[in-house]
Amino acid sequence: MSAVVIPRLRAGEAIQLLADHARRLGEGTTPDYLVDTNRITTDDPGAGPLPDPHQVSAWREAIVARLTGFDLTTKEGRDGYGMELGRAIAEVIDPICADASHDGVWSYLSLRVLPDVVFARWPGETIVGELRLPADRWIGLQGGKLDRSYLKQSWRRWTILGDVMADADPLFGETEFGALLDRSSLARDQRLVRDSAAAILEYGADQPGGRAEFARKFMSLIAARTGSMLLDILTDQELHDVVEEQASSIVRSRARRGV
Amino acid sequence: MRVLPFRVVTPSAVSCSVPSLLLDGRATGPDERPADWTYISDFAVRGSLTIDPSEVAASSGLAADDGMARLLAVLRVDCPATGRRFLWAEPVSADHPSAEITVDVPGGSAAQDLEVRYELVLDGPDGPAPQGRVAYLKGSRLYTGDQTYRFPLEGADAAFPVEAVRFRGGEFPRDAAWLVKFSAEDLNSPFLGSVRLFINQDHPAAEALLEAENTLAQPIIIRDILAQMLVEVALRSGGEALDEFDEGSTGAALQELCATYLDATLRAAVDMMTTEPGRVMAMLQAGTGFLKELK
Repeated sequence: MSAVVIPRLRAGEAIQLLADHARRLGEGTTPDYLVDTNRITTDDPGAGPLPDPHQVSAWREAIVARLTGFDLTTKEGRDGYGMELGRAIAEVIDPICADASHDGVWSYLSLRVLPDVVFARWPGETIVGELRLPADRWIGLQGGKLDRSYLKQSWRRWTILGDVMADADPLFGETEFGALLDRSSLARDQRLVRDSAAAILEYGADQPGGRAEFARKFMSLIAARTGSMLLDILTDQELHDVVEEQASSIVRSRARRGV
Repeated sequence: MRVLPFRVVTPSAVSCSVPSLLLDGRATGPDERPADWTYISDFAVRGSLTIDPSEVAASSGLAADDGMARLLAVLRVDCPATGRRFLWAEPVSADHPSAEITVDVPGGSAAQDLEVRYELVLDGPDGPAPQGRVAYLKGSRLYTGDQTYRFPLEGADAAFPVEAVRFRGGEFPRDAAWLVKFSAEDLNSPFLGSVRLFINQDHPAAEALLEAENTLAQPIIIRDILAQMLVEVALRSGGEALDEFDEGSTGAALQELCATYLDATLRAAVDMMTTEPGRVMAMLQAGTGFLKELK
């Protein structure tokens, strides 16, 4: 766990800076020129000790060094880039979860420390001569819980799924992540999510519609089960049995119907 | 109301204490901020649950020598901000109808606020399915408390979140006076975390809009905010029930706003927004005192 808290941008600052970035990128500035690791700001000075600019630069260098060799024009490349980014944030910065729950942390990392990393994946589009960066991917929703901030989402996926997602071949895509993690009450049971991810890998590939379709159906069944059952109190083996039962019920049902 | 595949325990058979948060030997109640809490503080949440064994048995159908001997009182602590859940369970029975439950929350894993609830569930091992829809599987939720206790961990500001920023195009159109950001994804999430009003500080009316007591601007903003929230809920909710929300949640706040400004339930307001949007907008004008300088 990090010994420092991550600097933050207030929502208003983040929105302004995002607009500035879009304007400058639209005018031809290269994304690495937007990096500014010297400015250390926060909206909560009492939250804990902040890093110095040298430490922030070291974070950046270590993370960027891990993100080479991905072809972002392919789905495989994008999925691998997102996974490696999440792993790098978890291992290099290792944020305190409590600190990382604040949007301002991710706006700071996205806009000041890793704008080139985010730009590579979410370069936006030019509409009527004006570059628009996708705000939800760059700085999140700035309110609300289902946050699509790219850095936060990548880190969260890795911290919950870790080696399970690394073992996936092909890697999990957006549909599978959505099925696994978008229901907040389910996602709070991290054992359940990890077991479910393993079941999707085991059973999903051979099913009609592939893993993504299986994940949607399977996680709907799991969610329905948690309405009447508090699965958190089950032992690891009991939980595994419940997950297996739900997964195999889909397989059996489809086999009976010949699909 | 949730319909379950087994008989549940009637709420009057269960009584629960108001839980408290324990930090460095000091207890804090719901809706109070614990002094000295930091991100790395280890703390605990403690409460007690008592059952009326005969009423539990009568309502659930559990047998004295089976289900009634494997009841667990659960205290559940959810942290929406970090997406973590912590819980602990203690047995309760006819011989020991009360249990004190302590949930440990490790430092670094909670932030912003906590939601605490009681449950009564069935422990294992799973037996054969009995007659009469009696619960028999481990984990069966026999009772879930209606009340969610909220413990704020940080942030003393309970005012409507307003920020003054410069609108520079893109998502924030340059000459707009304000923009409301509202997330209708989870109506049970805390209201103050799901909505934010941005005022364009370059707009000629910015100063007036930021005045808390501005009697002309306020109704206009309230109408705009409420209209946008209703549209977003209408777009997302479909036919789902919109009548049971936790205290302090987005849904509960919307219920209250609809009652105050539209004299309608949230469901009715959302339905009307999809069928007669013009009428809703006019009703909002009437309800908020639109363009009337209130004395």
